[in-house]
Amino acid sequence: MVDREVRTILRCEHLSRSFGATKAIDDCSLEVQEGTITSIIGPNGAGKTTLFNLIGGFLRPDSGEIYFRDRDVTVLCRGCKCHVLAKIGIAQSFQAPRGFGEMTIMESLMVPPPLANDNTLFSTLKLLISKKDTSCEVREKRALDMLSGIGLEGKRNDRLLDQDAGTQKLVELAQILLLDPSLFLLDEPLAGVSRNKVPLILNYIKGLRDKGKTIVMIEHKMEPVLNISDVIHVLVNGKVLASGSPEEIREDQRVKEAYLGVSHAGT
Amino acid sequence: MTTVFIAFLLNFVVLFLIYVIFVLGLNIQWGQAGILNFGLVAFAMLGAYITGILMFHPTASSIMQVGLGLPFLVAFPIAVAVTGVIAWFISPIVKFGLEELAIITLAFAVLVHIVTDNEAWLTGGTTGLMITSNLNDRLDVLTYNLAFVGILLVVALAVYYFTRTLNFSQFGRILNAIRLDELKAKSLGIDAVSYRMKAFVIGSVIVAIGGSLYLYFVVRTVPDLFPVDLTFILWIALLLGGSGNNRGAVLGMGIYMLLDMLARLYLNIPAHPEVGAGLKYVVTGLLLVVVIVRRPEGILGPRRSKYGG
Amino acid sequence: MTDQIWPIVSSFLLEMSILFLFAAGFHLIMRVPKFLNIAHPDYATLGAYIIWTLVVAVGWNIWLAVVISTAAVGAVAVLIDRFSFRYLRGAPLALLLCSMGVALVVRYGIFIGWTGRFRKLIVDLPNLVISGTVVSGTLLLALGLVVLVLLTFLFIVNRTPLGVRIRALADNSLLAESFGIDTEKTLRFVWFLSGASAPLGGLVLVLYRPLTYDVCFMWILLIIAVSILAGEKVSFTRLLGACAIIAAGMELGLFFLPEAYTMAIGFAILIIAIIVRRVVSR
Repeated sequence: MVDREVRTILRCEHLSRSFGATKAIDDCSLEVQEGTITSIIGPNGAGKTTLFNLIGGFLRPDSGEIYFRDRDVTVLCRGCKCHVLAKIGIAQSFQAPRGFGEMTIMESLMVPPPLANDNTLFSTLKLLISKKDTSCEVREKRALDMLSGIGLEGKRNDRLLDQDAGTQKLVELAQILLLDPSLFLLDEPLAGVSRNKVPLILNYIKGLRDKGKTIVMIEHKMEPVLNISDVIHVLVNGKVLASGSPEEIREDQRVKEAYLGVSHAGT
Repeated sequence: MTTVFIAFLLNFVVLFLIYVIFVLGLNIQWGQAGILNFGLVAFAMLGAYITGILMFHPTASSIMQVGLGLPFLVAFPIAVAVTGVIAWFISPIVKFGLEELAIITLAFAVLVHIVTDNEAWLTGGTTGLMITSNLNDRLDVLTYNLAFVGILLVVALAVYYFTRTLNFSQFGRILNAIRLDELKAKSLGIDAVSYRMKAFVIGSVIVAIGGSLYLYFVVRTVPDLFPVDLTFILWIALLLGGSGNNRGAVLGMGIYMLLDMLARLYLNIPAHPEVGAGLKYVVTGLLLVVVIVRRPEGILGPRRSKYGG
Repeated sequence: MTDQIWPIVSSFLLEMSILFLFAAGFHLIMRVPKFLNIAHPDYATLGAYIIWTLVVAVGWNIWLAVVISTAAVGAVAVLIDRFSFRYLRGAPLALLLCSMGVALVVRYGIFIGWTGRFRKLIVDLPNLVISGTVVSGTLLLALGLVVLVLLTFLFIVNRTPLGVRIRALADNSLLAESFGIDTEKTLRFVWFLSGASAPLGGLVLVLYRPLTYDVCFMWILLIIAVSILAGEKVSFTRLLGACAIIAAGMELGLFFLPEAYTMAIGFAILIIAIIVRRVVSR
């Protein structure tokens, strides 16, 4: 193990969010260290996806603060400025695969910015005059490199909609990676993925961690979670019930009670 | 073929080209960016009327009291620019949901109509606005129409080329992404609101270009020549041909104009002029219902992309 | 003093009534099949033309004509739903665009059938005189119809099994279906009620305005405004309140603006209502 200076990349303090009378997130605080794979687990309805939505800027927190690399980003989250959060290095993937279904795989990888300034109106006007679209060529190369990296080069002209869940998740991961974020928020990256594709995605995630990226993921499949996570937080009723290494969590009595006998070795 | 008939045909071609420009503008707003603008006709009206006001020579006895008497080549870019600025002021409404957007834009169009109907000192009111056009004075009908076919062909092709380039560019790709899944696009770092605002302004500017040229062609206009329902004729043309698709927009408009011309030639019952006029809208409405129920993607299908799909 | 105030109050009450008679049917559609039926005012125009034809061209009694017209337009609304909206359930955007098409067909169908000539509907309505103030027969009729529609709708929605089903559909149609509620049948009733109420508004409007093919269309934006102001649930009392607010706004506007621009106040309230609704739902 390389000796790295461990820094906190994400810190949530006393987050709360209610929907009507239901308190989905109730005074929740947690920390995520840089360069780790942190998993958030918990029974259904514990508020895991809500927590992600708060951090990612899709929902406003009722109270509490969020710090990204010691920088207070709560204002951004309140303003639902997800695109700014993406620019400073937080990227999110979603539970149900989202990614411009009607586009082909190739084209959906051409979408993510940033790349020079080729997405402005001005550069489009320049296109009118010069037929050669250099930035487009750069984008194409980038997308193709990514595609061969995940082994989908042959499918690049197929529609996203027509692919199975595993492929769609992979493409989504690739899209996010093109943003070169520091923090990945992955909401159930293995949901709906067939058994034989699961190791592929897990290896991909491990590879990201080894490159210094931080991954926070929500997952229900216990075996992979226990296998690859560095840290696990257990979320119950909108609060963190327990945190620790996989071994510690596995033995934790409270966690076992909270899950009411969910087996570890299942999907 | 008599000269009158040829002039009539050329007249249709000019109108067809102007409407094509309108639909291409609508295509950018709706087909590419997914903005529901029910008040599109207002921008055509603004383009036309501002051009008219700039070109008008007010006299002591005219109803209209403003006018700078500018030549068309000066008035045209100013009018288009001013309309663009107005569109830019309105554009933050793209933050709203689709239905809300539809209502607000419709309200805007009605408002523009009320102003042009009532402020006769500015717009000539219901009596109308009439400019003095050198081309109109000097040329006979046939040559005049021919000249305008030439002018409009150049402009329409330029607009077509522009919207096509936009469609295949990264800007167009991002617009499409926003239309397909705005939340996902935002999560990828795309400032969706800003892009949609720009699309709104670009579309409105294009429509204003069409409106301005329309005024120059017909020389005399009244508010009723830009009925609010006109927006829906443009919609049906776009939906028919395939929204998001520039070729579809042209095809749809072509089909519509053909039907309109045939109706005018063969359905003109002298004792009942309302049949011909009303039938146009009834058929438009029926087509709209049929297309939406049966084949919402239109004849040519949705936006094309370089990468298939 | 009453001489000065009464005309304003009278005008306000009349506007409020017409708006309510138009909006009641529209509100039902906005909350149950859940889309904006832009064609609704044109149903009202159709109803007004049917009344005119039966009274002026055929010579029947006005009240008979009104009853026939409500039934006829109610039936037309159900038919239109059957052949167009039915295929688009649950897709508000497609429904909105479709209703534009329907509006064009109805409006210009009227134009073809009855031409663009202005028609006049003259009905002999007795005025009521209370201590020197004249309450016009038109106003009495308008208020009477408002009470009729309000009580009928309130009764149906709150005290009948049909009303229970309507409210269930309005709350959550998927859930309602899984409970065995016959969505299609309930929607047919909803469309009938919506269509049947429209001619009543048209009737009052053409008693003091000339009847023409697009007489009711201009009201669509105000109708949408009151429906948004009335809130998320099916509530006709709140709808009436919203009508009062907008009518009051427009009457007050007459002090500052020329008549043609009073609609603009309605639009301003519309935009404010939309903005407020957005901010509140955050």
